[in-house]
Amino acid sequence: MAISFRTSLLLIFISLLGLTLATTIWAVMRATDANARANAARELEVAERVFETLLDENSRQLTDRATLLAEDFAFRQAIATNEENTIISVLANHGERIGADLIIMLDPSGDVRISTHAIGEDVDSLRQHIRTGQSAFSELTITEGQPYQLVMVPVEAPDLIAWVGMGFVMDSELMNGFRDITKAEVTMLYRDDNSGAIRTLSTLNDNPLSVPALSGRFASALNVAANRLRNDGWLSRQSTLINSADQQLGILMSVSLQEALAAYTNLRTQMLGIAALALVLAAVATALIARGITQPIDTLVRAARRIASGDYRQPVELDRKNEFGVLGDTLNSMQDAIQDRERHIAYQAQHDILTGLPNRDRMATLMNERLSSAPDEPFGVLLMQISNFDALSDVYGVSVMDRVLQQAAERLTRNRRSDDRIGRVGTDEFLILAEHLSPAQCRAVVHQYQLGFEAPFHCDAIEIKAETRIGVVHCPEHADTYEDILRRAHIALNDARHHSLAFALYEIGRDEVHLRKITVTHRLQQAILNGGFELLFQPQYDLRAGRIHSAEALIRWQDPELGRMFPDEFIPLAEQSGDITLITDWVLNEALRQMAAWQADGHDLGVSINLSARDVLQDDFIDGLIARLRHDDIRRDALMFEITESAVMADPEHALRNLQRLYDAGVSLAMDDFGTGFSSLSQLKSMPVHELKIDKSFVLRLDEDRDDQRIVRSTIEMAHHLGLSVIAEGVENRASLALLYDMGCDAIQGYYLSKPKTASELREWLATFDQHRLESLHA
Amino acid sequence: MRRLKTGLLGLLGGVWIGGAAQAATLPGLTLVDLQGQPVSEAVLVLEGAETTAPEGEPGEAIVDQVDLEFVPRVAVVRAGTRVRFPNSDDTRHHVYSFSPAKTFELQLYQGNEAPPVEFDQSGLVVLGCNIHDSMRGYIYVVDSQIYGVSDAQGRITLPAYSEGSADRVTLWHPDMKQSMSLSLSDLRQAGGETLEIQLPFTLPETEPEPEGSGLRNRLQRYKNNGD
Repeated sequence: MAISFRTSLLLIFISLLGLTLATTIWAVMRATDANARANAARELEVAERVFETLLDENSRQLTDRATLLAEDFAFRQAIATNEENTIISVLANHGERIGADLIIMLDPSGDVRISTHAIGEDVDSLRQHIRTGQSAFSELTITEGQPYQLVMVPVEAPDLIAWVGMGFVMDSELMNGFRDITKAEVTMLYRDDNSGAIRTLSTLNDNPLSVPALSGRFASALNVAANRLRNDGWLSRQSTLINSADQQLGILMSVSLQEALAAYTNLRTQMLGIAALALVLAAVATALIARGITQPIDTLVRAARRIASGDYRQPVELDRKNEFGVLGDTLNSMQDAIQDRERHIAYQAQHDILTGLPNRDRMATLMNERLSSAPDEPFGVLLMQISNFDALSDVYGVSVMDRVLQQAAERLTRNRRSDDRIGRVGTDEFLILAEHLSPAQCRAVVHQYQLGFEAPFHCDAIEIKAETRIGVVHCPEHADTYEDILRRAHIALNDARHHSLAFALYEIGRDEVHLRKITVTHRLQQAILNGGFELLFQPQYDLRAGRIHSAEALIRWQDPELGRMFPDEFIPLAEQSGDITLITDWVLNEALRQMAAWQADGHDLGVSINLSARDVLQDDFIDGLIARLRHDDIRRDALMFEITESAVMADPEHALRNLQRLYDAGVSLAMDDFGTGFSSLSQLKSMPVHELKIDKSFVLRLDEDRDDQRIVRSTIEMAHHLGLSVIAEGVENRASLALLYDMGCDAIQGYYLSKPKTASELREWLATFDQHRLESLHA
Repeated sequence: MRRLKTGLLGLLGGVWIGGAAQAATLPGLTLVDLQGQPVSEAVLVLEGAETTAPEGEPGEAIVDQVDLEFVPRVAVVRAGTRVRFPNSDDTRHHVYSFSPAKTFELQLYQGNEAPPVEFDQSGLVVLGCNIHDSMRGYIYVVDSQIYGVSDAQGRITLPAYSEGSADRVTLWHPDMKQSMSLSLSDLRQAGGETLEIQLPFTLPETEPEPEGSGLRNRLQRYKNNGD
């Protein structure tokens, strides 16, 4: 997932601040914790001193009380009676008076006279004291499992008569008193044997040291106790008050760590509160800052996207004086610049740079707009061409002609009718969209535009006379799409050129033929490249020799798009486009190959091949042909080239020269379609041919038409007189054949004999040809 | 039995008049506390009453000390009575009193060593023992001839007295802050064969022997073990 700028800024700020705060709080807490512990330790130290002082004070008070008691007259009197019962009475009474829990009386010598408790071994230490001093003293002792503060006072009457000891049990009440003063929990640990369980007396609730009972070495037991308390959250300080072989007593002063830290807990709470507040404030501030950044960025991003999508009109509105404002202004000026450049590019894309007129694309747009806005409103389209542009260009060069074109554009613009649109659509072509052009006005409008070209153009000192031609299309009558309009205007223009007219109107239907021609020409080129032609052979019968002596090679073309195509249609187009030479080449190759095959089969069969006018006029073709016939192992005598009259007519001199070369090379030539052209007899005389081929139009109905009979007969005679042989094509019945035979025709060709056949069909046909069917003619 | 309530009204009771014109007797009285518990060791004095019997001189009384207690604990004596304080315990006693009616001291003594003490002034004398702080005894010294101390059932039966010699009774008990005075006529009006008088206090719960005497026991035990 992509994290937004705002979020990442927020994360960074908050985590940085959080880290800082956390570190600070951690450091402070560490310091305060250490401080609290140190304070607690100090407190404990003080508490322990206070405790010791209290203990001393307590024993001093007890001593005072005991001393006061021992000085009581009645007391002394009672002791002095030396009567045991009285002594018991007074000891018990006075002991109770001062709240003693333990009473012991010793002889001045130190022997125990009487005692409430089995004070045991401790007496030794008392005796020690008694012997060395005369004044009262106190000590701690543990008797019968209870710790006591024992005060020993001498009883003097006035001589020392006894030592009386008053013991005060150290109970929880005393502990609580100590606690109230020291402000520390007091725990007393003690035992009066060396190995037994250690008893504890504590001010702590649910004394945690009671279970399990402590035992073992006293010093380590104290440590264990301190540790156990620490686990319960108490910081303790220990001191040993008695540590003799059979009595041990220690004190643990404890303060609650929690309480010690309580003050700091408050501090921590406050710090956490401050930290939380700081984080929230920082988050809000960061969010605000981020918004201050992301909002203009969002605006800029939106603007950039809009500009990228091509909308430059809307300015970026960022009312800020900071960097964002500058960026916004920059975007705006960039937008303006792009807009300007785009306008410029659009102008260039739509206009001809040389003349400033709308160009071909622009005219297409205008025309399409015009067609779609008012399709039924008539208008005219004038395609004007400077007809002598190429020639002028050859003479004066491009730069001069550019200036001519500029002036021409100016003149056209000057003569422009108000609603007309003029554009330059080709090097020397202008297209005029003439509004409301009716056929009646046509001539006048055309004249108006051509008028501008009457005066010569002046370039430097040169005077140039430009001639123009115009093709006119009336819309929507003639065409209603730009493509059609332009093409048909060109057709009209071509018509004008063909007929050397200043202008020509488009004639309806011209375009379809034209299109067909273009298509056929195009497909023909494809066929030449990729194949698609087939060669058929129509046999020719030698009437004199009485045999099939040759066959005419006829091209057939099966096109996948156009279907079966006839030579009548595509050969003229191939001649126009110049592709005929390639086709002739193909036919020649194919025919020669086939002839060789026949020869190999033992058929003495020649081939007639049609040459087009174009072939004849192409010198290099003739060169190649002659060279080829000379080199290849070809029976030239079996080869016949047929040329139509019209082929020679276009450029007779050139054609005749080339024909002569073929003739000289030993190739047989025949004049095809004889009788359809307008060749003069003188030409015929000069034609280097061996044979005439009477056109089938004279032969098809020969048996019925007497005129045809006369023409054919005289043609045959004439040809024979000129030394030419004659062949008739289009023979379709036996009657015509018989007539031709009688007329002395040399050979025939036609459906009566055979229709054109493929090479393989011909081979079969030859094998079964009934010689005798025709031989009867001889009879 | 009729019950006579004390209170602000003061006394109650009818005085039963005996057969003899000169002699009068009060009906049998039963003293109870506010809870109805019989109050023993309460003192009742018929102020100023004179006995119908011929008046004798005040005699001698005995306040013994048995098991660290004064026996009886409460004694009523006519002024001028000499009281002996024999010691029946095996420990000595040091009997003393600081009461205004009689201040005296009998220093540590045993047996019948101590001389009798004459109580010549009426009033309350509180007795103590200097070496047995728990010992307490009361000698109520009166001028009247007619008085009594309630027994364990709280009953007091007074002897006959001379009609008209007294008109008030005073009631006292160690646990009462002050003595109480009742008009005899109120008592008489209450009438009846016996009369219950409610005293305005509540007897303290009888505490078990304080364990404090453990010290004595222990010392005693030590002594016995030593013997």
